[in-house]
Amino acid sequence: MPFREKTAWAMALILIGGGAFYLNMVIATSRALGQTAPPLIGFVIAYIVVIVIASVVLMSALAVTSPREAEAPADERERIIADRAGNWAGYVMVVPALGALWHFAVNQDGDMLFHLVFLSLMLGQIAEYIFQIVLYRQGV
Amino acid sequence: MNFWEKGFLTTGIVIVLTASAYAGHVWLQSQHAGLLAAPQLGPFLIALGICIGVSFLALGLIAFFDRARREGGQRIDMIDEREMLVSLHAVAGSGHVQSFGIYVSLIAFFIHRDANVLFYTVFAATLAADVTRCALQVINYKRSL
Repeated sequence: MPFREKTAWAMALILIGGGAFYLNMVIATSRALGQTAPPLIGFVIAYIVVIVIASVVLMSALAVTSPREAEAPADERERIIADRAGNWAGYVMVVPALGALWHFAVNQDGDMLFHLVFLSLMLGQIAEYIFQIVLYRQGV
Repeated sequence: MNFWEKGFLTTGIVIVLTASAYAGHVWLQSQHAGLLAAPQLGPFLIALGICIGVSFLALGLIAFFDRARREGGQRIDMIDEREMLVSLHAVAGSGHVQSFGIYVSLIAFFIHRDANVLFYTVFAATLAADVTRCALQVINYKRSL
C-alpha cells in the first residue's frame, strides 16, 4: 500500500472519529435542552484538539515505519489523485453548505446553521480522503 | 484565448457582478433597518440562480458563436486531457479557498454571535471559491499546465 494511501486511511478514520465525537456531544446537549444546542466554542476546540493530537500521533507513527516514502515528494499520479479527490470533495462540501444557507433563510435557526456549516466542512474533509483511497484502489 | 478561457473569464465576471448586486441589496436593506438585515430566501435564490444559470448560459453562447465563426462549425467545447487536468487543479484549489472561508465564517460567528454574519460570510466564501476556480482555470491555461 502506498504511503499516501496509508495517510489517507489514517486521516479519514481520525476525521470520522472526531466528527462522531463532536456530533455526539451536540446531539446529547440538544436532547438535554429540548432544542438545537447553541454552538459552544468548547466543543469546537475539543474537536480540533482531538483531530490534531490523533493526526500528529498517527502521522508520526506512519513516518517512522516508512521514512523514505514519507520524505519523497508526490509523483505525477499522486498529484492527479489529490486534485481529483479535492475536486469531488469540493462538491461534497458546497452542496450541504448551500443547503444550510437555504435552511437558515427559511427557518432563521442560527444554531442549526452553524452545526450544518460545520458538518459540511467535516463531510468535505472526510470525502477528500475517502476519494483518495478509492482512486488509489482503482489504480488511477 | 480559447473557448474555455473565455467561458471561465465570463463566468468569473458574472459571479463578481452578481455578488456585488447582492451585497448592494443587503447593504441597502441594512441601512433601512439600522442593523445587518436578515437574509431573505428570494434574493438568495436569485443570486444563486444567476451564478449557476448565467455561467452555463455564458459557456453555451460562447460555444455557439465560436462554432459559427469557425469554418466547418467544428466542436470547440470538447474537453481534452490537458483541459481536464487544468479543471481538476482549479477546482481542488478553490476547495481550499472555500474551506478557509468557512473556517473564518465560523470564527466570525463566535466573535459576533450573529447568525446573519455567518450566513453572509459562508455565502461570500462560496462565491469567492467559484471566482477563484475561474481565475485558476484561466491562469493555468496561460501557464500551459
